Amino acid sequence: MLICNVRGNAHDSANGIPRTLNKRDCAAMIVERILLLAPAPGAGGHSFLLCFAAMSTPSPSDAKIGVTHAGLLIDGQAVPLLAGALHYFRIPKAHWRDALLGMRDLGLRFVDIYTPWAVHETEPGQYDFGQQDERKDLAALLSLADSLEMRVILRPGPHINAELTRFGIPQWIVDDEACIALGPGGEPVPLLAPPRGFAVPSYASHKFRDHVQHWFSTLADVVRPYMYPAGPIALVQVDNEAAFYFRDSVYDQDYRQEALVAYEDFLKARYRTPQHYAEVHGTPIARWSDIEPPRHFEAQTRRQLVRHLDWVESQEHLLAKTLGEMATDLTAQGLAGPALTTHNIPMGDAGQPLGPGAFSRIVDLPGADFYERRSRLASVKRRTLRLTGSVALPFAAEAGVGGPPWLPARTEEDSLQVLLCGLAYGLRGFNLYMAVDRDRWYGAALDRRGERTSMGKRVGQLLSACRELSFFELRRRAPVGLIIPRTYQRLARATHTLGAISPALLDVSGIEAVAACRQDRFGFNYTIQQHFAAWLDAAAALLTQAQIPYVYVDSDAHPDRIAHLKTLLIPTYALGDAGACHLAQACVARGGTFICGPETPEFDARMQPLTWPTATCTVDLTQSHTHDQALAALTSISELDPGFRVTGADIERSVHEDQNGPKVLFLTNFHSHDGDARLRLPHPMRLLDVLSGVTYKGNTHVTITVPGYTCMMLRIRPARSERSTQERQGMHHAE
Amino acid sequence: MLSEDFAFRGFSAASWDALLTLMGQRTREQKTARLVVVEAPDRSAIAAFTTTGVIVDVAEYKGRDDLGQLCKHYGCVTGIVVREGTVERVSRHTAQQTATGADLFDQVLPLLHALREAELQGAIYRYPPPTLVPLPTAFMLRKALDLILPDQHSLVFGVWEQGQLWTGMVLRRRAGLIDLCAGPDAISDWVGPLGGDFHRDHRTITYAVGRSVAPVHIGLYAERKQLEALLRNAEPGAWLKAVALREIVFDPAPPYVGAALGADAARATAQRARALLGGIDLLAHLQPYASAARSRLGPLGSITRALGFNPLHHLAARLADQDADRDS
Repeated sequence: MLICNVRGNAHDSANGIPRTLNKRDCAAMIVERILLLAPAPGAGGHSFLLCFAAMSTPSPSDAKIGVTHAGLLIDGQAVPLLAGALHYFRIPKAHWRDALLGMRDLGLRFVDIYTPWAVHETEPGQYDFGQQDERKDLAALLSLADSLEMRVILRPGPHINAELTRFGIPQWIVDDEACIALGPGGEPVPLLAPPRGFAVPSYASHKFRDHVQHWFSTLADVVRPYMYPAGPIALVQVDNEAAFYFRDSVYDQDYRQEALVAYEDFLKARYRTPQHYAEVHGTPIARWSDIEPPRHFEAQTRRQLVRHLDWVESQEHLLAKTLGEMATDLTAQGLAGPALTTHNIPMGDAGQPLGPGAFSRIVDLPGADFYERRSRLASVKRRTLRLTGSVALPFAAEAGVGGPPWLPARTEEDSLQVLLCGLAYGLRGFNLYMAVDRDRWYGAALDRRGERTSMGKRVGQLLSACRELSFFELRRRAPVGLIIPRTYQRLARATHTLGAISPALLDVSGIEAVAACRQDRFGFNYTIQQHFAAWLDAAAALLTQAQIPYVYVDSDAHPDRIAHLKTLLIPTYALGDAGACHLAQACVARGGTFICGPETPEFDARMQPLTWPTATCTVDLTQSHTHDQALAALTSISELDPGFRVTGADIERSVHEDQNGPKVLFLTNFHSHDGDARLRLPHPMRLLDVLSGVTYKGNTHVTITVPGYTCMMLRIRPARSERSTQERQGMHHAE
Repeated sequence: MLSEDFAFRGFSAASWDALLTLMGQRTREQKTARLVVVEAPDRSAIAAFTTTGVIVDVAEYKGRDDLGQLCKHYGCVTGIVVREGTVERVSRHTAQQTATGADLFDQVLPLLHALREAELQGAIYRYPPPTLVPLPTAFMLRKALDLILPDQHSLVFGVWEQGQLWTGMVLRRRAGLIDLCAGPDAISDWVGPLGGDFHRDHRTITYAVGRSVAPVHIGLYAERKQLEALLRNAEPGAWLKAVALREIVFDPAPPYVGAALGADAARATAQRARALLGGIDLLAHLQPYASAARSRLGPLGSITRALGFNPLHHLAARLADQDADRDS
């Protein structure tokens, strides 16, 4: 296996001999990494692509962008990742400057821009970068952003969405049968998105990839001079909301020939020989070509499950591999390199092919979309905690401000509360989508001339408070990790019974992603595909009740992600998850503990024996009588209680602190009715609601009414007398 | 019916939310529990859940006859049974029928027809069994649209509250397709400052939109309170009364508005007459004459006839359901 470190030096793991990598090696390596889902030894999870990006693009040796928990590190300077989306091609060029100034005035330092393929390639081979329509003068916009000291997040697609017709993909692409995905019966896979439904492109199609490569190459000629370090482009997004264009049900696509070849390649890499495949599957085959992909779910026994789990994983692999190749193309064109790569995970992540753990192996900085209504703050919390647990910098790649007309309407309060809740549970960067008003959108923060709307005024107030508090440098300590075993998620996706009404779609609709799974046991003792989700919910409820902060970690996340966790909670059954097993082993090796259950794993996803480490306790958390046992195992971490315990209401608190102690407290009410939170204070203090300006004072306790579906951000300040004592002490220290 | 370059602009979050609320969309947090059951070909359940997040043990499902009982047990207002593979079959059928590049409505209609077909064949079963509204064809939809918004024209809708344009919308149709949906901010850009009383402002708006967008075919202006009450009130005569009292203003009012208001008046009269005549349905007796009269209306037609159902009645019912949900 080839290994490279963050500086781009490479050696062969077998003999340690240094070796120069070429592009083909890099591509081969990324495919190998994705296939094996193994961590890159010696490299941080987020820097994998960066390492070979740096090799292929010459750049000044001091030009570096790094990722910290608080934002990006650019030229040694920490820059909070606060961005706003501007669709230059939808607003008059004359307004660009005012719009950018409005964004900067709001406190945003990055401008997020899509560069839609169909907007610029108006006819096959004919491009308009401002020659015909000045709104498409991309170079002028980049130059303007640079002159205003705004950094740029470039999103070249090919998938754009942005409520563009055909998601910004040229019509001749989606009309070309060689470019589109095919369903199990060989039919196109339409996405009925307004104003025109279209056949979704295939991630496996070579012709589509060739077109994309050509688009990247043409775009590169325009934007290359504006890439970091010479220019403002610091982040480049690889594709967009990659989930098979929202047609992500397991048996929905892709059955075109190239996809089936990719499936076969996946099996070859996994099983090496047809004989081994036959042995594991219990299906005699003589040649690889004898294997037929499943077109609907038909397993009845645990052994028959393997075929379906393979199919699900091969789809994930296809997606990851294609995105990896697109990242390589971007790098080769000079569109990534010192600039980092990013991606936004769409809504419905509980049911999607790839989660933040997997994406962190493909791009430097995976982020997620946040478009909920305030009634779904619980979902915002869950997604944020998964992002916080699985990636280095939790980033809302699209923090919805307003919305498109064809999705359920969101009010200003929805946008604000969702953003606050994300911050409460660990977001450390966001991109306001949309910052500037545009076609097919309502409720942006700024109008086209950069004037703040009523929403803009509220966001400005929040950003100003964050700045004053140095909020993005604060940490929310979480000693416990809830591991999401990806094998069980795959099983849930395979056993889903509602076809194109996919698990992700259910999740977006507020229904559990596993709700429509068939309730078969396949010879196991549990309905694993549903029980694991109930187990995780029960674990989360238990921790919430005990007021112990936690995060979710994908079982395919980099092991670095659990380095700071004291205890892991893992749902486990006779069918185990190899990734979760690695994480449990790593936790034990560090002296941590883990709780699992209800069963100890015996087999992996190929029904091969799995050696599972010894757990602190094995319990079925869906049974309430086991909670005391689990809590007893968690007592060792009670010393990490951040304080501010809440009694008397169903209101949760989240504490953010720096090295001197707690600085910000969030109180979140996930219910529709108002609730009184009685807070125990560690010492006399004042709590200032940064948005309403109301101050709450108390010596040992304070009671705060939190309106329904609301998240309050409270600045922690010592009581006046105590503050003067502390200030004096501070002065003594300074002396 | 939407053009490729369909433009949507001029709405704030508040004005868009207001418009949808008025139109009966569930924009607020109302959650009506529904039970979903997926049946195997042998009619046993393989998956079951409620839309409020409860996973129901499939063993509890005894068959379609007991669906109502199961819904009640889980506090669900409605239930739906889907036979395994139905969604896949409907998807496949839709994919085969969907022409790429076709108008969205032409693409969505095969989906709706495939769902209806599945329901008629028993692959989808709903509890309580709904009244099946006839599905319009693309031709019927276009015919209805021709009545409401003829080509090269615009439609204006403005709703006031406390002297402000609370919400509103301008739609424009070009080359047969709707190419613009603009909100209050865009209306303000075209019109400039408004006086605050829709009885006077409507003329300014109709004129300005006609000049800046396209000649206005129909304009409807009202105060929020009155319009909300009207939309929830399917009582015959309510609309006619509101127009007579200038609680709502049509400016301009195309001929079919007059015809609709006349029909509304006829229904109101018939209802009152029925009450007075001890249940004799006067309108039913007059039906042959009414049909003959309607056939002479020619191009005016009626939206109800074009669609096969009365959209206003459905909207009123929907809003009433919504109110009931909220109250409960």
